[in-house]
Amino acid sequence: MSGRVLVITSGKGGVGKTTATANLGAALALRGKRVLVIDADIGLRNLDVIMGLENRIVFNLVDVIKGVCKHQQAIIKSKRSNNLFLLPASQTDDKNVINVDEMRDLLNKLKQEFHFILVDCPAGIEQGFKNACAGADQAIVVTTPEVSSIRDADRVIGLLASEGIETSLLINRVDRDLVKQGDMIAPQEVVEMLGIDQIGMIFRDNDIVISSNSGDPIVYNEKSKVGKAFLEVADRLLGVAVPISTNISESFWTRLGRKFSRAV
Amino acid sequence: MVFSKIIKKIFSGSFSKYAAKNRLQMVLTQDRTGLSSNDMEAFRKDLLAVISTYFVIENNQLDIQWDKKDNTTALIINTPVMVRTVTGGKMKKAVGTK
Repeated sequence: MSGRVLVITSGKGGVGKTTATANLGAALALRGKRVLVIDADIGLRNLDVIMGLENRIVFNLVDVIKGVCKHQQAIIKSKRSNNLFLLPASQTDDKNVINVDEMRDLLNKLKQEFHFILVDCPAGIEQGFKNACAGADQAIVVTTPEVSSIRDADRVIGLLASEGIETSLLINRVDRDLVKQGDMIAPQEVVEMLGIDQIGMIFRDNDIVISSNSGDPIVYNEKSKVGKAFLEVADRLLGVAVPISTNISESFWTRLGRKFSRAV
Repeated sequence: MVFSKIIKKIFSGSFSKYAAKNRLQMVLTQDRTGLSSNDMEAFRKDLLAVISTYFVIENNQLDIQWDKKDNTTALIINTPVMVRTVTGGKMKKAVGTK
């Protein structure tokens, strides 16, 4: 088996990289792929918390790279799936304790055991970013439809292009109402400005907050539209041509349902 | 959205996404080219000077954009040009005389 390595990155912090990594990992696992998610945010690990695995960590990424343990000892199986695994970051080191070559070597080794490896990149464009992108076959840049986030995405897209990494765009936290009333840049306009292919669009949804509270990725919630959107992104990664809707309106009944559920 | 709200917005001109898009266009251009806003203004002035050596154009109608597609960045300068050139078609001479 020689798996694909995807880095999930953004430049700006707080746009949903970690949530996207956890959900895409879970979605690909649901589709029957053997998936490893790696938290490359050394010193500020969070992917373990989003996946609800914070109590199971014994060893971490830095331990594996420094030869303290074997990777089999550090990798944790998820609660929900026999196909989904996490390699957590170290919380006590900083980004400079590992380098690009060490990361690439590790990924080349792990590729033999997984169909997909998703690397959750830290914010910024310094050493942590370089480490996370080392050995990536493909990148997903996450952005929200805001000026600061799009600007940073553009910078990161430029850096990834200079590394020759194929890149696509995931637009996160789109607010239907704000787009409709002309107070948020529409997803289509974001794509045009950044000039790269789009892999998906995720609407802002309270379900995400709830799922992160409980440490259970939203794709496991079959009723959730956001969960479905992440599954669609996973399908696109698997080469299924799922069209990306440019329609931001909801049907009358959905709207009514939303109003009603808010009222109760 | 309520209809009256739309009407209000149209008349007050306050669709904030246009402000966001314009500001974004500015910073993206600066970031992609590495030119500061002063440099951009100077570039704009120089461009205007060069173009108006050959064509009659309206001063404020020069639109400079950087378009990114597939790893290449294209500089797009858009301006309405009057059909007649400054010298009535004798461009080469115009350079000599100026």
